[in-house]
Amino acid sequence: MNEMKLNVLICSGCDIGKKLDIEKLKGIAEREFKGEVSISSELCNSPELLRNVHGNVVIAACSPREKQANFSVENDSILERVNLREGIIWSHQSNEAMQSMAEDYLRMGINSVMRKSLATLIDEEISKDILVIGGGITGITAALEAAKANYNVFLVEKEGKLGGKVAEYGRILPVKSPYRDTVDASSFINERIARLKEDSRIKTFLSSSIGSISGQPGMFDVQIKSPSSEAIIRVGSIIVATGWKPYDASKIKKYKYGLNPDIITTLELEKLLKDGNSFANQKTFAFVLCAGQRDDQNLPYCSSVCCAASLKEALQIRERVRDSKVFIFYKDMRALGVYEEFYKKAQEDSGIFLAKADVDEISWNDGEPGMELKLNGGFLDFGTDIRVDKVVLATGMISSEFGMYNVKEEHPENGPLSYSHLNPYKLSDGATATSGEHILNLRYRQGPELPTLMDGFPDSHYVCFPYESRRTGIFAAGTARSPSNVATCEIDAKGAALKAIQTVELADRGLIIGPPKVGEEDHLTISLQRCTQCRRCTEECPFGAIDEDAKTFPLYNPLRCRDCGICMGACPVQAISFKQYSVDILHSMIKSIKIPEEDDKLRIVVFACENDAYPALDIASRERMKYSEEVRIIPVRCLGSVNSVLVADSLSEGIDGLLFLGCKYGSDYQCHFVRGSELESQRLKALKETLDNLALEPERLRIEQIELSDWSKVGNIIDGFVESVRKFGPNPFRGL
Amino acid sequence: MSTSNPVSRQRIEVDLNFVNEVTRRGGGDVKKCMQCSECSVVCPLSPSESPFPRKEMLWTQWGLKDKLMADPDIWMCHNCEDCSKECPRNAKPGSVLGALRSMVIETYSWPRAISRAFSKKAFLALFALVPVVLMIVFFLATGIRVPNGGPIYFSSLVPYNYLDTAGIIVGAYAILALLYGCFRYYRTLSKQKKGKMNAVIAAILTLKDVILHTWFSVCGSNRNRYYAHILIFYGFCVLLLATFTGALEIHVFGFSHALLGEPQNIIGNIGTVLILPGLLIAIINRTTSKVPKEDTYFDWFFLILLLLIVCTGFVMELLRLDGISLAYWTYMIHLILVFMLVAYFPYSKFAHLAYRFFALTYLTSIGRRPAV
Repeated sequence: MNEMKLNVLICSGCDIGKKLDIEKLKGIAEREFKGEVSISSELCNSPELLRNVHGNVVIAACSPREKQANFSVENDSILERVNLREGIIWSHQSNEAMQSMAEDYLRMGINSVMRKSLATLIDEEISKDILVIGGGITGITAALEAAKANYNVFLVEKEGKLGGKVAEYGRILPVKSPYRDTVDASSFINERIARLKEDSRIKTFLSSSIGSISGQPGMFDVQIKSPSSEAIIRVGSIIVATGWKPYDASKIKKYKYGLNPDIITTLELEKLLKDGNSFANQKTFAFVLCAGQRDDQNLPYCSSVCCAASLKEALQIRERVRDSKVFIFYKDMRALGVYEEFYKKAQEDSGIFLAKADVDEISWNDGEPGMELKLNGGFLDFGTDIRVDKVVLATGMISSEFGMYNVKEEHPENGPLSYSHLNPYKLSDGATATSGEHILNLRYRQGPELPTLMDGFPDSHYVCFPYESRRTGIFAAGTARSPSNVATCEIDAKGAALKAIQTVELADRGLIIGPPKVGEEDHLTISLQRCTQCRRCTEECPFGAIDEDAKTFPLYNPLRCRDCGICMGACPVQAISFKQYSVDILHSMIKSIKIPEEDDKLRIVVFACENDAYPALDIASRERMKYSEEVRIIPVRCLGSVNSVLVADSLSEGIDGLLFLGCKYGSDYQCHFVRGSELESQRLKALKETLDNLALEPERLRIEQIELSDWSKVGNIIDGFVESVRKFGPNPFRGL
Repeated sequence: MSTSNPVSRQRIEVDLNFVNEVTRRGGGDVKKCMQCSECSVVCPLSPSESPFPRKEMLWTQWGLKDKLMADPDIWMCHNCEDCSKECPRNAKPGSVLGALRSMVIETYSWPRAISRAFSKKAFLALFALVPVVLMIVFFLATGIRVPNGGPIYFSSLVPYNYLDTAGIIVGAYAILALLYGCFRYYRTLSKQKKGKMNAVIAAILTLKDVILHTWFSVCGSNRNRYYAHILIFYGFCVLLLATFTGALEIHVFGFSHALLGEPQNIIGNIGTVLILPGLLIAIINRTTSKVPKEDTYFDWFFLILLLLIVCTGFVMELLRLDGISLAYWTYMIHLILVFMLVAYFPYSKFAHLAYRFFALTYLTSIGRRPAV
């Protein structure tokens, strides 16, 4: 309990006053909690009322998602919103039931706010410098962009020169309207390298690698290994622009790569073209697109650039070799976005022949020039062969982070990976970073590299947060993040540079850095007296925010934290709590719920994820969709923050059932914290035993996956659960 | 794996010139096709199994001439241009199919040298000169001169015996050349797949389709073309009937010369009343159409020649009734035009009548018909 004064402001506008007995609510706040109560018929339009309150402030009005600008409080106060409008009067009908609901919600809000304490800011010496790893087009662009915004940049490049893959190309795909003309790669990259060298804010380390990275956003200590020296620098954020590597073409057996010198990859052809090769007497060329791509045996994904890149090379061959014929066999022609224009240009060329077809077999007679291609399927499906002089395989792009560290094991329902890791890295070995092939060498308890998703690309969320990795303050951009062309790499670099700048500025203010709770200021504390060194928090934190000390006690890195509370949900001894979010606070809210005396009335707690499920409920209310009056909804930061002890306690205290509304989980998860809802579902399964001991039916707990777009179904889901619990009758522990 | 494949494997030889040839005939946008199949989806005539014109577009891009010259599907198309209207790439599949049809006519018609030359605009003057020269030779040889004054009888310029003899010779040549071409085409087609139906029965069913314009009536949005075609087709048939009626009158019933009010004249006028609006609709349709489409020499030769024949025929009739001797000159032009119609029938768009009939007969025999 904090010692601050309790202020309760109740709004009677928007028909709240007509549907609810406001005076009765006022009485509860005054009598039970000794609070000072003000009532306004239009609270959102009464700034003077808010200006005069300090301490614990409870606003009973509309949804906490509404009118946040009107209802903000000073730094010396803690705000709690009680949702009377969307949560009660818009979504329910019976006056009597709504009144008891409002009384419960008010008590829950007051009990919650009185257990919160004022947040304290992190006050540390913060570096605003930015580290860029990789000196290709992405790294160079990111460095230039960050420097342009007046941030110091360190750029580390493994090779002895800058330019990366683009410096190896002859020409690159069009970068500006009308997207029909290719661009000379050397002049394109050299112009950027020259600008980089001129920029005094950028310090470049060539032939260098990262020895180790430790610390957290704003305070990353980076060891840079150069041939003759070693430097330790402190940076605020990191951009990983380490690019791509080609997929090994010899793994695609049917194309016989390596057995005939005239079977080459697009990257090899690019070098031939750059070197001015004129292909001797070779006149006919066949491009095999999607070579080993979108293929379960090899790369399951589309590299997105090979179609346009192959067209580019085909046009160059046509320019260079008179009377040449270029055949392009595709699975689907995917000249993404504006490159449709470039595709049209290539189509116009009379010597370029495009068709959807599978190349089934490549054969040749030793000593004779030329090869025979057996085509099948697609548009040339009448059993066709074609003779060509050269075969070009468009093999895919894999991230430089591919195979270093993969969180695939978290999604076992997809079965084993269909491709093999280059260097499988085991999670349990993560305490110390290894040197050698690794790029980042993070000294994180969870491993030395960025966790990657299914296809070996580092990302933290499929949809919402581009450039974010699962290591706060470290951003992936360009082909290290996803297959991209040069123009996309530049866009990526700019986006990642903005993220890096945002990171150092937020770190400087001591605020939460990663989405979705960017800019919040609530950090957690771990009670080491209680801790049993079980390591669950250090293992389950989706962002690797908690390291371990020598005795395996948790070491919290506040600026890596994203405020989700998954560690709080994981801790078996409830040693982890936030200033304004804890098991105790949630428990006090549940205890505030008045259990009805009648046996035919149930009380069910719904934990609703504040990212998708709670907004979905708001939308449903706005559409005046009704749901059961027997539920009490508690918004949570993430389902993963709900501790099993809290669930068991609620049941033993007479709550009839608990419904968990969270984000979709699995390999195509939508959880904003990667796997909170999935972890909670696992914890609930483990709780079944506890329920057996209590002689309670396991069906009293249910987890449902809700997307925002499911708002029209959410009411039915709640009602369905209430009815299924009704079959078992009220909780036998009621009133005990 | 290929051994189990019943389709014999064929080597693709890409013919770069083929695309140029198609371009010359109005299919120049074929390279723009991206194989999305929108054309095959919108086409009301395209069967669900192995639909056209998507595959024809690809084969044309790849210059697969042998496949295209043995592809009966191009004749299923009745050129409503729905495909060209909906094509997202403006590749004009309708125009490409038109070009392919004209190439089939050129490829199979006999003798090849004439059909090849006829497809080129540059030779038009030469082909027009042939009947002019023949006519000059005729007048020089017979000593007949254009009569001056008196009632106008065309037989006094070209006696019926000469006219009919010439008609029979040129007509027989045209029919034989055309049938020979169609026979070669039909043989090529029927090598591919054995018909389920007797060819004669298929031909009778196809004839019924032609008379009722069954396929054409399925054709999508462009109804004006349907009406134009039906008017031209029946107008042409009626005019043909008028010609034979004239021959009957003279050789069987012993009329000395054509008179107003006799059957030939009445039938001829009915034919004119049908064909003239048909031609005008077709021409207006072509010139005002918003659908992206290539108008070719091949198409215009057909329309303009028919229009000129009908117009000169109509004008010379009026002049004759008024007793104006200009009628003889108009008659001479009319005869030259009719010669061009008949003698070049196997090489011009007129031949589509026969080629389409044979292709549709083949398609009917293998049971390939639009889902009507």
